[in-house]
Amino acid sequence: MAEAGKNLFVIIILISLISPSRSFCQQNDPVISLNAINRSLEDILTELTEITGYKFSYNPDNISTDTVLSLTFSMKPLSEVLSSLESLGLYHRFMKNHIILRRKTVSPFSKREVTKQRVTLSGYIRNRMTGEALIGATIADLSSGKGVAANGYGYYSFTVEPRVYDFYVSYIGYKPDKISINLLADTTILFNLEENISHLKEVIVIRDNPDRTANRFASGEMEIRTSSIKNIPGMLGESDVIKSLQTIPGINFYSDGSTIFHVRGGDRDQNMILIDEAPVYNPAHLLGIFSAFTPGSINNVKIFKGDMPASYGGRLSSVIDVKLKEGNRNNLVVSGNTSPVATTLNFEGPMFKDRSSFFISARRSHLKWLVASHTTSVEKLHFNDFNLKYNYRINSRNRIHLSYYSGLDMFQNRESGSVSSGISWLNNAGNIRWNHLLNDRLFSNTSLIISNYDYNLFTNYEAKERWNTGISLAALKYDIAFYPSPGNTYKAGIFLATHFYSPGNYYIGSDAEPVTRGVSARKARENAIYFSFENEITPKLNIRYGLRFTAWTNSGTAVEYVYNDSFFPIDTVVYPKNLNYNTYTSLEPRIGLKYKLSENLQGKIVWSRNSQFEYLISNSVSPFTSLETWLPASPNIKPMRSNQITTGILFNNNNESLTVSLEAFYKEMNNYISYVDHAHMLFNPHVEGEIRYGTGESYGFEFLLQKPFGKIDGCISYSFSRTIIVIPDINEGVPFPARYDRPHSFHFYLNYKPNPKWDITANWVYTSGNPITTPTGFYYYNGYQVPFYDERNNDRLPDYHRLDLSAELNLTRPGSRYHHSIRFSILNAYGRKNPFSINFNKILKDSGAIVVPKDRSTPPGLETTMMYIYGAIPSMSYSFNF
Amino acid sequence: MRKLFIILLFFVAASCEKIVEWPVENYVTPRLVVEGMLTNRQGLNYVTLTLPVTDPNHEPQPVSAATVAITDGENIAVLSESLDKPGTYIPDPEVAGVIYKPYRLYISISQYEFIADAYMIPVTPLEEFNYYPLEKNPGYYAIAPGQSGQPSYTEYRVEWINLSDPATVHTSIFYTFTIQTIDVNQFFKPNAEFLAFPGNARVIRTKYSLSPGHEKFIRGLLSETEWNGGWFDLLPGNLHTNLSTGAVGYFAACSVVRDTVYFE
Repeated sequence: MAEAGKNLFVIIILISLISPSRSFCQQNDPVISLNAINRSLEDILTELTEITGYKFSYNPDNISTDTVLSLTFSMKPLSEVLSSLESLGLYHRFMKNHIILRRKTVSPFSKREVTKQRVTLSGYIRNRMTGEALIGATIADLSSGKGVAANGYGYYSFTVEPRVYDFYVSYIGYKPDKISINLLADTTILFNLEENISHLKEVIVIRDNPDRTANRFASGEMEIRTSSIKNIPGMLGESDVIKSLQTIPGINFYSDGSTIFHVRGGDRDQNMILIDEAPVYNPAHLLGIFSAFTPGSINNVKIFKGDMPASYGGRLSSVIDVKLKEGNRNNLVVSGNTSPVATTLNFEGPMFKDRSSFFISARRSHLKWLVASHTTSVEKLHFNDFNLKYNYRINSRNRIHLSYYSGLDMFQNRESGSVSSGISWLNNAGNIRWNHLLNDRLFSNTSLIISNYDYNLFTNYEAKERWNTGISLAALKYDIAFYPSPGNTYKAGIFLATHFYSPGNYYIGSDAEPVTRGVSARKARENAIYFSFENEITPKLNIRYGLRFTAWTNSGTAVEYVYNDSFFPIDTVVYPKNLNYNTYTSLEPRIGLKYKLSENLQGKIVWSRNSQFEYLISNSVSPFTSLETWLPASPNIKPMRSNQITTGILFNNNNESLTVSLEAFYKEMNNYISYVDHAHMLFNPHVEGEIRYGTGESYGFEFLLQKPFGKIDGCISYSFSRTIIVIPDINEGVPFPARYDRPHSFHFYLNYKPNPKWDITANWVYTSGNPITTPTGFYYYNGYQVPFYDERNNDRLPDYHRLDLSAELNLTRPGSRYHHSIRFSILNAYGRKNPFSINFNKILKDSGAIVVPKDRSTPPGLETTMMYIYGAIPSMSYSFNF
Repeated sequence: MRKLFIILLFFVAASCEKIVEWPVENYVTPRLVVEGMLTNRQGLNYVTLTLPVTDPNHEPQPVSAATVAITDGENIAVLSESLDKPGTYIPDPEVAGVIYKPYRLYISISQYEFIADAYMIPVTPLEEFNYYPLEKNPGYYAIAPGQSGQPSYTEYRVEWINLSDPATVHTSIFYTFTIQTIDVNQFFKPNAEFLAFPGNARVIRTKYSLSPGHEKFIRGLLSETEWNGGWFDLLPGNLHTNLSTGAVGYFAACSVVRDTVYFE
């Protein structure tokens, strides 16, 4: 018998030597499902034979069929199932109705084999129904408590000593998986977690992994669940990804109806919003009333409040990292949502079965239809969003992702007898990514990224007379992550980008050259290299540290002005094409310590330094986005830099049903910019002469109590923070509060599921009012009553508060494939009039209209007025999928 | 562009503006307010000195007994305080400025001295007078001011007599401006009072040139008044001034053109 086995082995070797490629010999490759947990290889092969009819041949001297392993596959080709055995050193080959297994011949000089005393469990963690990657899902060894989190692609790698393990795989909102495995060799397991759907009758206790919560806490990472985004009422029934950030302590929105937000004392341009790694420069529709992303297209939203990982750079205050859905890998699904404002349709499904999936989402507003009966002069009024994501698995180690986002706003109006005018803006962002597993512990990703923002203010649509501004980026990013063991991760990468700025010129027709020139177009190159390490020093103490080095280089063609000490231009320098004429460098270290004070209590302290090389140039105090331009750091615009130190504690109760965190932070910002009084921002080639530099200081603490799951879930947060600015040339150098300085901020979010039909949400926000600059006196000039000011931001708007309510009724019949629901919501339920400005320049007419006086012959009798965006807004939306 | 915001209002249901009580902090340092105008025409020249008010709509307190003079470096005109209008200083009737000449305003009050420099540039001719009848209000007209090619502003002084009260001359004054900058709040300025005039009104138009410094002052003035209170306000701030020593306001040297037109 042994002799026969040896002969068979020789035959196998010969066949494998003459076979050019496994795939060429591959025959019928049936699609199967297998759920083999902690079973011997022999058992598994027997079951595969029963399922497929294939018989397995192998050399028993070489292959131990007693090896215990777990394999979980749903509707996968047999070849893929067998490929997972490659981690055990077993390779397969189809031969008619046989499958031949062989052990790879290992060179006696193979260093890895000789020194190998550790084994790696790796793979992906996905949603069982859709196949979507569960970003941040964790796998933990229950005996040691050590765990690792799946990365942005759902990939995990867990390297440990060979022995029997009880692994616990979890993700919030999903039923956890627990397996026992005798991990003797490198093993790949795909975990498919089942979503805890609210209308399931049984109450499923789900919990997050303690290590995951602690690790996220230590890294400063926050996450918003897509279910929370959908539950928080949005304007007129449109759920809003950006505005849902208000649930996070430390993030304050500027005003009602605004997508402008501030994080830990940073100005609005200090926030980087990424959609699958590509920046989106203006994520707003209808001037900010709605935000750009459709909740149904989002897999995951991560938020970093200043202490970003080294792989993120270029902003001082936050990174909002939005990951789009990859698309259902198992079934074709159509879903959608319609509200009074817009309709969204999503299509997703597998493509090239088990190799790829796609996701397409389109949203189109129907504003014009709604206003048509009220006005005839509006020719165009709409906004669109389009998301596309496609991924293709080349093999078990290589995968390609393609992402694209496009958002358009269009408003065109023609008053009788005049030309057509209006506004349009367009965001385009996309990338191609290549995930490559160098081995089970070494994951790399290469991304080609593009992004473009183009804004037009049309004074004559037909003649294409327009003020135009834009910013774009083309970048290459390479990241590599090494997972030697749980608690120890090494990451490194490079980022090479070219940024293009068109800071506002006037064009007529299709001419590329502007007829009226504002600021010269600019180009800048950003080259960054970074690494970050995470090490477990002791079972209680973890350290994270990293470094990012950035070189920012301005490149021609460009016109730069030389300013004197009074900010008057005294010379002009024209730089030719591609000439690098100015470079800033920045070294951005960061270090964080996490200490386990007890089983339920973690403490951390983190210090980080960040730099920012591009600015949104605007002296607007409006809650809406408007005519704004981006400018790069250059000889006249210094890069902003910040140092932030954060410390905090996190408490989890034993079953993770309650978490409490308290964080305190201090942030200093250098080269913080502001503007002189009545700065001339548009069409001004010398706009840099209107900017003044100083420092900003922000400090505060944030408290968050979360009950993340159950029939009732929710959170309560409170933050205290102050942001004080000092700019020697403004306010006579006297410190003043930033216009978004809001000392107190309180937020309450409650979600209640009384039964499978209803899902009820209440959301209450309270913040101190924004600082404003109000006059301390008035004088008269030519009949105009002119205010004058003694101090910037000397006053404060009334406190802001608002209650939003929503209730979702699930209309799905039991057993039906067609899932649908209807959501009723009231934004600002008690109709609080939260002002965004106070004005001293208007009169009340007999008609009741509040207007600016025109007649200057007599003192007009001015009134003080406040403007606010909305009162109570009820709405309804309908969602479906099948 | 305001149409877009009307549409926004439509969508956000009850968005609006309301009158509130809002006490302002009192200023710390009193400032001299100067409204100075030197033109190339006799009788249009004056300097008004007042103090600011702390409450809107209060009558400003005039600053009397100041020494006020204007010089072009060769000649000096001393202004005397008007008996009818305390705080308003006027030169001799024959005094007028000359285009392309620099002027300096000198003010002395107690131990304080204030200086302002201005330069007079030419003004372009008045634009064609455009007006239109109101369909909903027959017999009344509205003025549709034209835009000048150069920075300037035009004062429209409209005078008329109501048949029911023929003894009283009604006067309305408003201004239109041409400046070469574009600002967000200008583009999206709030609604303004609509002025309509009877057909028997006469319109006296006076167009003033704007030097770059004066244009900057006017831009700030508009930003704080006519353009303020819309959906896209800019950072508020004190107006540019050419006055020294902490005074506010502006001393302008403008060449002017004037005409008088009638609706009917």
